[in-house]
Amino acid sequence: MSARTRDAGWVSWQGHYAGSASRFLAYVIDLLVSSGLFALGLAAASLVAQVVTGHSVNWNRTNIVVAVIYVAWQFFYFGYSWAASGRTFGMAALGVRVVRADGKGLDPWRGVLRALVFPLSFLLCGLGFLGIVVQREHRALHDLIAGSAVIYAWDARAARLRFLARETEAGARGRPQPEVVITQDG
Amino acid sequence: MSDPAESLVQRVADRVVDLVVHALDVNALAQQVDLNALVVQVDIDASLRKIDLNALLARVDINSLLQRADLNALLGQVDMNALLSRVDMNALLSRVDMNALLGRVDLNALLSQVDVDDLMRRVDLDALLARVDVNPLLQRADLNALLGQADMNALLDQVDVDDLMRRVDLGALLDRVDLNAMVQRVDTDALIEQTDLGAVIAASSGGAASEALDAARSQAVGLDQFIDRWTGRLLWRKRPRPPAPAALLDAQAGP
Repeated sequence: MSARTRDAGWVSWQGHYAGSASRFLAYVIDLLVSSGLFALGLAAASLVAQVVTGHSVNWNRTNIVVAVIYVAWQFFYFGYSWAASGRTFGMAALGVRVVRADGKGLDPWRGVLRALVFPLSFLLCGLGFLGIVVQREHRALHDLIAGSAVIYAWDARAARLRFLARETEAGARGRPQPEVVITQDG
Repeated sequence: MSDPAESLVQRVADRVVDLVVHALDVNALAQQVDLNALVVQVDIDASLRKIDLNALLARVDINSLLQRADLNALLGQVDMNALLSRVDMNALLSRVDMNALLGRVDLNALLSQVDVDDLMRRVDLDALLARVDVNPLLQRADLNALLGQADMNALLDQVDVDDLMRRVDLGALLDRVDLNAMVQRVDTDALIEQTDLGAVIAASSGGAASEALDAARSQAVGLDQFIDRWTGRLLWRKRPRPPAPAALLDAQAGP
């Protein structure tokens, strides 16, 4: 349906509980970014070690030490991001953020706690994530433990206005535009 | 008394009356009468109650009567405020068929004879209007017909709109307006399409990255809603989910 034909029901999703797709995509981005950064760091460290020792060094994640550092890095990446701003890079890209369960800003210690208990949701065969889909407030196991929730932090109404503005501009120039449709009923 | 004497007395009396009547200057006599003092002694309400005003007025050719009367001179002798203060205006007006009465009056001819400015200067309109229950009066009057006779343009030409607006407390007026509700009624789509607002927004928030981000987020939210809907159906969820945490819901509800 064309966005132009809908003149009612547009809402700003800002502040609403974020759904599973947004959160999953944000996590995928975070995983790619954090792993990419770690790989870069590992390559840089390997290069430095090779220059210093004069031997060929080839560290990878099968190495137990590297694996431990990788896990620590993941804790740091997510824990620091949540404690500092309530959002990681992927969450910022998808427009979601972590808040306290009552909607107030996340305390830093809750951000750290959330990062620490985050693996629990994996360790229970992924059942910890089931809460995002079935729980009334879209809260996973680590959310319930840390007293947190994930909400949309972007303004769909503003995005809609930007879309309309671009469409109007494109109409003036005679070029087609992709449609962006978000309604209250989805 | 014998018949001749009685006849003589009768003739004398007739003659005396005749002489007195011819000698009497009625206008001079009328000038000596204090109409106000006389009016004060009369219980006008009681008198008016006894009279079928409609029947009485129906028999009177008001137009010819009004044309013959020197209304200004007559009204000049009357203390209008004192007279009006004694009249129960509501009771009086409730008995009058205003529409029928107004229909028979040639207002233009009547008003042309009256020095309205002088008359109005002598009437304490505030005191008079304070005693009149205007609502039932207005309900009985055919305002449309009355206004149809009025030259509204001429009337409005006499109104100093600037002065009127200066006296209006726009702040208090706007305080009573629910601006949020008004804004909700604005068709934003049409506004952007029909004005340069779209170009302004596009210029201030443009960029391919922003466009891609909006699209990705929109698609993700659409997918979220789709999953949510089907989850609700599969779980036979009857009560809707809370849309947002309590603190954010309160903030959205606003002050």
